[in-house]
Amino acid sequence: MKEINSITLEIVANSITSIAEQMGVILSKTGYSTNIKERKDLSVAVFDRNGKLLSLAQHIPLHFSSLSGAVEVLTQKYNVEDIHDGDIFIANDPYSGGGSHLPDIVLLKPVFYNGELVAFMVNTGHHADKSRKGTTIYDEGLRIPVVKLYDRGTLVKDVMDLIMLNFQMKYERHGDLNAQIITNQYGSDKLIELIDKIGIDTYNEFCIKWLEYGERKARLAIAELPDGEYCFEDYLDDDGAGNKNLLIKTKIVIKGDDITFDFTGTCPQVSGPYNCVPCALKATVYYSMMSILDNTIPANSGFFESINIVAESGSLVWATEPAPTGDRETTAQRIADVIFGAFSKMNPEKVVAAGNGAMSFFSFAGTDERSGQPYIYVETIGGGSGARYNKDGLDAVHVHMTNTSNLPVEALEMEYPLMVEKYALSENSCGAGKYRGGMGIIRTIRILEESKDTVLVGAATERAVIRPWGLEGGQPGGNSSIKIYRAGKVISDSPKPRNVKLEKDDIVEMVTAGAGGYGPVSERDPEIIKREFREGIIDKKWIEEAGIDIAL
Amino acid sequence: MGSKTIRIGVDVGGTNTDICAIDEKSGELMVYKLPSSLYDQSEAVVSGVKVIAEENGFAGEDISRFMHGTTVATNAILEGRGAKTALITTGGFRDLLEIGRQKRPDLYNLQADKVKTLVSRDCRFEVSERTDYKGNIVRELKEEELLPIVEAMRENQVKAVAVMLLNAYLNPDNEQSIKAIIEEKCPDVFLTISSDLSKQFREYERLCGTVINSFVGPEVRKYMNNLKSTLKSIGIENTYINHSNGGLMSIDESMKYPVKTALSGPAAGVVGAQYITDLIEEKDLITVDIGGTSTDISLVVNGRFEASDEKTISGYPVRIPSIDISTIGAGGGSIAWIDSGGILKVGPQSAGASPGPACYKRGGEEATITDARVVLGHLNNEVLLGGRLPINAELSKAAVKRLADRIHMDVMETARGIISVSNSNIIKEIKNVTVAKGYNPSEFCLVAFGGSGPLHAAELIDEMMIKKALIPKTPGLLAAYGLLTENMRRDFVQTNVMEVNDQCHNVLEKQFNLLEREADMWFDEEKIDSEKRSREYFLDMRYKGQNHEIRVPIDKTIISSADKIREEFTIAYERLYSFSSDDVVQIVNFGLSAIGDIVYPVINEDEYDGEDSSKALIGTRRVYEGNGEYSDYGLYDREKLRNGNIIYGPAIVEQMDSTTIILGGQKATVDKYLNMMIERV
Repeated sequence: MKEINSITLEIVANSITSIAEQMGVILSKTGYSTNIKERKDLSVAVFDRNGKLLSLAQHIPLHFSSLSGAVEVLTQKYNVEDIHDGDIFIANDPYSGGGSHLPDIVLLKPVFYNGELVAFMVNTGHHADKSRKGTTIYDEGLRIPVVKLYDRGTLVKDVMDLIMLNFQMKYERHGDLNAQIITNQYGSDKLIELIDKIGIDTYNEFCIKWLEYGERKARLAIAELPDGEYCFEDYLDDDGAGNKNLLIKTKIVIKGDDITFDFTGTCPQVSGPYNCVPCALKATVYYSMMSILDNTIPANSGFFESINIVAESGSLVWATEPAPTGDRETTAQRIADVIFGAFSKMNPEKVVAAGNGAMSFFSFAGTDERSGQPYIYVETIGGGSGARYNKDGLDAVHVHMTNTSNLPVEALEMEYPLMVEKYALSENSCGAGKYRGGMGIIRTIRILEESKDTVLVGAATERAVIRPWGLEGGQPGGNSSIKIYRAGKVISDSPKPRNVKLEKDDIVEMVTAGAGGYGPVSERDPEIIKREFREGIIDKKWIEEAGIDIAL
Repeated sequence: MGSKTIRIGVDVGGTNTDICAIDEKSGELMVYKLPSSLYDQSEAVVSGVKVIAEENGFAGEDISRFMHGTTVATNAILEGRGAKTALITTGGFRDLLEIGRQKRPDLYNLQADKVKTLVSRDCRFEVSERTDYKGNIVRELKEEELLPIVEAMRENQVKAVAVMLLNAYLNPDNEQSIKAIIEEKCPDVFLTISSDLSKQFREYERLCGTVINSFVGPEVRKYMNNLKSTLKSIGIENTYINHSNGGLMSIDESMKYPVKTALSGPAAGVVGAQYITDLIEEKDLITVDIGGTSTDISLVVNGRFEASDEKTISGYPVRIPSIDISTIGAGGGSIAWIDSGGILKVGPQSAGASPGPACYKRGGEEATITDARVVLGHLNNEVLLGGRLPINAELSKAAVKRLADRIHMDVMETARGIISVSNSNIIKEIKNVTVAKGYNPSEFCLVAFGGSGPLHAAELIDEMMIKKALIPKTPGLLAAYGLLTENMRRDFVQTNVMEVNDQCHNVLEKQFNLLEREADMWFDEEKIDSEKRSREYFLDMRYKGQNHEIRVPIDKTIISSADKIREEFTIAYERLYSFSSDDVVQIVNFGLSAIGDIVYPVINEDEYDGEDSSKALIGTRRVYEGNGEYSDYGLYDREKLRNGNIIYGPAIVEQMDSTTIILGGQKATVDKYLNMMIERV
């Protein structure tokens, strides 16, 4: 191959995507913890020698933040002559390591070909160790800036010892880090094989042409959008630390093939763990663009760098040290809502109405009397997804920045002294419209006698106060809630409860939000309304409140 | 009475119905292909059988076994066309069918939808029973609750019912009670209870399998009943149906568990590939079945195909034992196109059979892989399918030129580009499949079949540094051929989660005995003689705390030793994950494959004829080789090739339903079964 044409571009791109996909497979296979192996809370990327993203294999859109952030810090912090074949770098810190929250640990490996730096193999996984919460980043766990874990092929044992000392589940952490190292090594070997085959000149030219291609496709798609300024704002209910109604604002400015997202006016950072650092904001903008613009544009730096992002330093979406960032994914969900809202002002058919807008989770701890061992059960619950211009929203799914699977009831009951009493659609939670929003979920857990010293360590949901909005006259979706029942009485109804002691037969009920509808409900097919009433999706009260006049 | 020595395999595909018959005594192979009948598959099946019998001078009464691969269930699922179905489930869980695993189907595509829910909410009924994780019934079933449900089912004119209760995989009592009531009150509905279909945990997957089984049940039962009586009328008694795990079941069983046939389409081809390679001592295979619209890729390792029960059909996880086959949209009809950024892409859209490639003259305007091959000279530029399909090469060239102009390239280079891009798509998938299972593809033998497989084989092994590729004698009929070599097979699996430790062997023994008893009942039901019964054992295991298990074949003699079980697990785990640990190992599922041996047919062996292949040489063809250069490829007639013949590339070998390319620097050797093995010289 001498020069890159539109055929070699596709073939080399296919090969590099294939390397990233294989790395993703290797990481989920070799990963040790359930979170990485089963829930696939991991992502992988290949960057060129200048730290530009070539290919991305991700399961969680938010992960892109730590992958790109860490590479950026690495290339700024180290001179090229200080990066050697056999080095491996590790990082997690949002303020000095390019991370977005501390559990996501990134491993980076520079790849050398004939002594020359040609690429970086990078991956991240969510290390679900002991969770720590507090009002600053210092309270949230061990912070790792970008540091060398391996120096020219030799483990820097002091660094590894220091890291390991800070984890509770050492064996699991060690296994996961090992898997991350193996994954990068595999990718590096495969890239070298590829360069052997196509030649270094073709590879180098590919890197340039591939980014140009990404940018070209992105700019073509942006140029098709009408010029103008599109604004939207929305709120997070609260940060769990007493700060309520947290404003997030964006103004999208489109001019020709240029696009800018301006978040000026967003509220200041908070003392709860809901702060997003710049790379988390960027990952959210990129996710939104990939969903809204043209999902065939390759996720590469050419595409991403065609997008301008502006925000005020020290705000909720551009947090500065020492703001805590533990639950930044919930804020990212709301940022996505705001971006979708702004795009809806331009063309509502390109987006969906607001969905459940949260990373709803609960976390139970106690001692399982059956085995005598302590247990921790954590699960995230999806909800409604927004209605579309041409059809209803999806019921009971994860939206935007996350997409992990549930734990089957039969597996859960085998492993933990808990019983699931209900796992169902939350009736009447869909926002009315020509097309209705998706339905939220109800998941109800009963504490069994075999569970001792049970504590609801933490739980959180969003859109408990401010409902998910509809589009074009579509109505808002239903709220979320978390309630704890004891002997039939509600003993807690906080949507962000912490450290609640639980007794036998207590019931914890998570209800996630539904989603907004699209278009006026008067245009909805009355036969569908009747059927949904018959099926119990909606009741009389819902129909009345939606303002529908129909003989049932 | 006939001689009962003819075994016949009939595989129905989307386009063609393929028939292979073999004389069990002489080993003579007979083949026939006809277009599938789309409205009622059995029409083409029966008329094809009549033709092949007449052409070869045998009668229905001479047929010892009729082995059938059908897509009736598959098509009903794909098209969402099934019976009005009701669901009865544990209180609090009727929406599970809609919630699924609460994942959205695509990360970025806002228009993507979840799979359609096959039971409407007003036909999903709850009963207030509960069984716990140990199988203890903690809330009794109140049978009176079923009466209004039965009423509602009648009102809704329900034709099929699925029953799935939580934890019924451990204790089916409540499901059985419901079954008894439904059978009594609604004898005409098609009923499936989850514990009959699967005794594995994870409720959503078991639920999906149960619902789909009922959903397609009435239609499949009707088809099978018709087929059975039609075949009987022409003297055919023993009818077997192919299922997804590469084995056969009786036609009666297929009417009870139609979902088990849902993934059987590509399975028989893999069995055929495994059978023919076993004869020549090739044990590690990558099977690549390339048809008109898709490519099916599977692995055979040490002579065993890889099983999986995590396959989905049309997005539904059905948890039925299946051969692990991975499918991508790449085939002869795949369309080449230029995307908005100016890159050449191939597939996954396909021109299918209609309009088909541009050269078919059926109005197709877009360049397909087939058109690129016509332009390059790989395919005959006048007729395909042994003369049955006249084509127009100029239309191919015009279609490719339209693409070439848009990317400012030469027609011939663009045609080569189409082939390279399509190969890179296939290679990407082969790598994903092999890497995911912990293997290095270059150590395998590639078996290429389907109409287009032999065209790609030489290019694929060259590109992937694979040592050799086998082209079966009948690449377009391998699935029908595979049916002839299948055994009766049923997998019995029971979830029972327990730690592997020194005390576990009693439970192991007890659990396997239970499975053996179930298997014996099945053997008896199917009237399989005791000397033809064999059993394979396996355990699904994991490290405690994990949520995903791996299947480990177990020799039953080791079940008394916890250490040996652990060791087997560790070996399998290390291969997959290059990693192992000292953690506690858990058994999750106990498994037994019951196999009813159907003696393998004798296969004719061709007499050794020497290396000289010149008598099969029928001419040459000019093929474009890139950079403006052409080569003359030797053109051979596959029918005239004999055992031992060697063809040195570059060459093209034509046969009725396929064309094989051999590149320069490669050679193809014909074996005694008339397969060709392509290797580097």
